[in-house]
Amino acid sequence: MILVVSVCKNRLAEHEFVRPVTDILKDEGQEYRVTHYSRLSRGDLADADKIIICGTQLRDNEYLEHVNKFSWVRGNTTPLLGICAGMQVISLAFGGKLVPEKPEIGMTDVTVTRDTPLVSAGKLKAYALHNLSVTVPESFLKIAESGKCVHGIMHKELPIYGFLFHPEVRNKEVIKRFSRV
Amino acid sequence: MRLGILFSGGKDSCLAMHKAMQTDEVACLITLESENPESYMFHTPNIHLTRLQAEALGLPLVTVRTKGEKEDELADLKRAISRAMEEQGIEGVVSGAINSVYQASRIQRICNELGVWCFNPLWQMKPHRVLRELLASGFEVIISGVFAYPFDRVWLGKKIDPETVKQLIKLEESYGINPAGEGGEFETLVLDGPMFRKRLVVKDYEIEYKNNVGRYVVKEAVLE
Repeated sequence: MILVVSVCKNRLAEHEFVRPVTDILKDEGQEYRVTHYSRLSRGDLADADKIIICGTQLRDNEYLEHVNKFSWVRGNTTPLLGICAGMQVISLAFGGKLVPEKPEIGMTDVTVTRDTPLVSAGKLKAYALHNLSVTVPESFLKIAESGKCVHGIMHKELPIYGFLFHPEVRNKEVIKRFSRV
Repeated sequence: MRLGILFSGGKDSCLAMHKAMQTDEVACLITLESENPESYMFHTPNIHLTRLQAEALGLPLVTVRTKGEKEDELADLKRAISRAMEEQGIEGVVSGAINSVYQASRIQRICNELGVWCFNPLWQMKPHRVLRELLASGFEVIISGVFAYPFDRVWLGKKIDPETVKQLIKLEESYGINPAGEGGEFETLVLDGPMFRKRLVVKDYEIEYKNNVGRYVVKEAVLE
């Protein structure tokens, strides 16, 4: 079972940031369960074979006021994928810092700098929607960047990945591959 | 949250509104009346009917006229949203964008500049699912414009029912038509729906059609 974590403050936004992810999982024949980060229990985490933390609206920074709710990320060894806000909380949990940016909105040229199980090295066109990037924590490698900021990170030893762009919009293969890792 | 719906009178803005109403308060409709029939962003045939639809829905309508030229449209959209913020006290905007990153990213940018929340509840939905949800929710929708081969005159005014959905999905297989018409292949007009207090009844219309481009122009409609 794949645990899909919503970080959306507004329920209406889950149609836009969570449902596109679960639609891909459904197409892949994967079982999943959606839980809001504020209601996540130890049992939810223990039952999960994989975890995806989704993104949220440009103006939604509520999850950043509750970073303690993501302290489980640090001790986690289950395959984990963070998208946008999800990548931000992964970085924060492992000691990274937020980097305020001028917003990147829309299709963006991203360079993947190394081959990973989710995406191969090369250039891709990705859908971006964010005004915060992150620093790469010490236990992580940078795997993707735009001209402006870090767009992908990967843990050096654990199957933990973060992308700032939204793979559920124009690079669905990333999520498909993660679901099969 | 008080929301304004970017409203063209077509199926996508109505389905987006329907979803928004499940969780939030819809305060008004926002319509750009484009003078350009080939508007990049905004659906145009029968746009004058949005006044009647707003009345049927019992919602205030904020309208702004636009010449409908590519980048000017965005300034006009910004003006319309900012007027809805002042007049109706909206804190968020809802669009019916499904898969167009062109449309969605422009709306996101404007909302970001204005400091207003942006919602796209149909985002990345599969076109056939959009159609099926419309039917399951009880919307009455007709095709009000066709703009691509192989659509012919017969499609104009056609009601979207399970049979039409099947035909649209077939056109996707054989001609690459997007069954939700998001590539501008066809446009729709919503006559009735679950949140409508009254339904629109077309009393008189005209068909304009030539070489796979046609419009079902409503000349007279009433609320019943």
